[in-house]
Amino acid sequence: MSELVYLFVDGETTHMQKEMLFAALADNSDLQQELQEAILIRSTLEQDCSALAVPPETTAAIFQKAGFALPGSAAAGKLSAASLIESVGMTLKSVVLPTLFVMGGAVLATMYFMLDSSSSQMSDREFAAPNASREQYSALPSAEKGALFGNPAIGETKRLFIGKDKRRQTRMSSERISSGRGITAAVQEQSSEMSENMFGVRTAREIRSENEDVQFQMQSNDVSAISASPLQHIKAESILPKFSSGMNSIDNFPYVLSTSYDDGNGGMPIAISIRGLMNMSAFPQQGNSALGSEFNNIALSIGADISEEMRIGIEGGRQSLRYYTFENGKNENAVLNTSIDWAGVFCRQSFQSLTYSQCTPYAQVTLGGTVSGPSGRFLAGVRWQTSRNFSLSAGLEGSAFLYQKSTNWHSLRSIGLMYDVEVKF
Amino acid sequence: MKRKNSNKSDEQLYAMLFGSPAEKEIGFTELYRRHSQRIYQYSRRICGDDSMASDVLQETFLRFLNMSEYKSEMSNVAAFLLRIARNLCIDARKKQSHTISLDDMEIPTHDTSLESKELRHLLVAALEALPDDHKEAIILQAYNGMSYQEIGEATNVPVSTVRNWVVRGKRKLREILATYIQELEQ
Repeated sequence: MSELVYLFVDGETTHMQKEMLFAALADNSDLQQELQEAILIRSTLEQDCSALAVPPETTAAIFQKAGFALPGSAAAGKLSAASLIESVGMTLKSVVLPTLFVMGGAVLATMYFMLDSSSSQMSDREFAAPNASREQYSALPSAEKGALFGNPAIGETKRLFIGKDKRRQTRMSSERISSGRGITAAVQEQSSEMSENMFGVRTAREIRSENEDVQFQMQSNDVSAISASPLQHIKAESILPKFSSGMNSIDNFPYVLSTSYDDGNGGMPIAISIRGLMNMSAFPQQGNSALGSEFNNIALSIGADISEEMRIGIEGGRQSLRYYTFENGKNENAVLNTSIDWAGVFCRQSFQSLTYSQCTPYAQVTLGGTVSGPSGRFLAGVRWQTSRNFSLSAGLEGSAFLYQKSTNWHSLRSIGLMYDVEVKF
Repeated sequence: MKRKNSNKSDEQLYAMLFGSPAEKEIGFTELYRRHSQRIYQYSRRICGDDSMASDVLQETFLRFLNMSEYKSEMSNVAAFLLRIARNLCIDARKKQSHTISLDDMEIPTHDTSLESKELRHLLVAALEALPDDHKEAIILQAYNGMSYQEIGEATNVPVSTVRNWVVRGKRKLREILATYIQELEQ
């Protein structure tokens, strides 16, 4: 009879069993007690059942992985027309953003050509100079470097510039240096010979006339000689007077030798780049919805070279990743986010020793944050230096974002193909 | 729109999974709304752990969605979902050492909790002491609202066996909670 109590509470008794149970309950207090407790257990189980609700985060994760909008969110349960509008919007985004990317690259290129046009005559020669020759200077004893900087004769040439024997002197200097006599000795000798030929201040017309003459002959004869010199990496105007602009080139002489990435204008070389990313995979996995293929990854960075192979700077951008934010922890108040804005500082390490055909591998780490939490990025790629100031890069880029829901931290991660356009000023 | 979908049967909603992406989303969303709670409650009490229950729920519906690409007809979506969840819970429990979660071991206090809440905590802890098949039968019956017949179909056992599991399990619960219930009555 005890079994009937539980069957009755669970609604599993037949009509006949009910009558039997009721008859037994009428004069059996223990059975009545058991019935009361069975009802209590049943109701308690039901209370416990109602207390167990699916966590919103779990629902969000399921719909995120399924590639659907979260139930209750604005994007959920759309009609076909709405879906069509959404897909059209995504298509437009996929067109507009790459266009913006290309336009950004074009603007950077235009800025480069506009700013660099006045001093770009020698840039090709400078660009062609191998890094090994810079290292030759770097390898000089500090005493010899100091002699270069402290040589008063060089300063003298700023005021009393020579014209007559200039061509001969510079050629001789190059040949002496080529023959291994050392930069210091060559420069000192050159300066000494310059001083010996000082006859006073010449008129501007005379100087211009002689400069033009020498410049013409230089083009036909001396370029090859200079190119063959170990000092070919040094700007021509640092050894040879910059004939087109007079004595200014001598001003740059020590400076050119003292910097690895000199642009001829002094100061720290600054580079601006614009970068795109094509997501290959995201974690947690994103569904095969239109949002998953959204082109919404773009980054802008500005950096300065602190050494021959290292650059630091800041960058920021926007990346498409789907995640949900909640208000009051309820699905109904969930907002589907399709992109995340980030910013941070980066450090880039180039590997010049691995340069091949003007392509240099490099790696970069970026640490920063978003409005939701910290973020980090790592990219590795190859930079193709198409000209002295312009380069293109491609490689892999990984990113991770941390964000907090309730009291728990969650992460969004992605990896994709990176492409980059960079202009150095 | 919502009302229109809520009037559809599980089978009709399942059929929508083969439609356009928008229809698929609507069908899945409605099926999730109907069955997620039960699957989670079942998983939570069987696995005894929040995160594990969440994982089971997540995996259940994602498997369901993936299987819908190969299985064109579905006669009983609820039973199908439960079968997936049940298998996942069995696997999870095999990996899990037999422990009772801290939530379940929470000691009742008399300061703010109601007596019913205390009883609920004790009952959940007592459930853990039951044999697995007894506990599962009670959970399916009390949490999922399934009849003995449905439980038998879901677990592939005769109805009479289910009846024995439920009755014995509840008697055992009553024995465990007897002292506390008597104190409540006093």
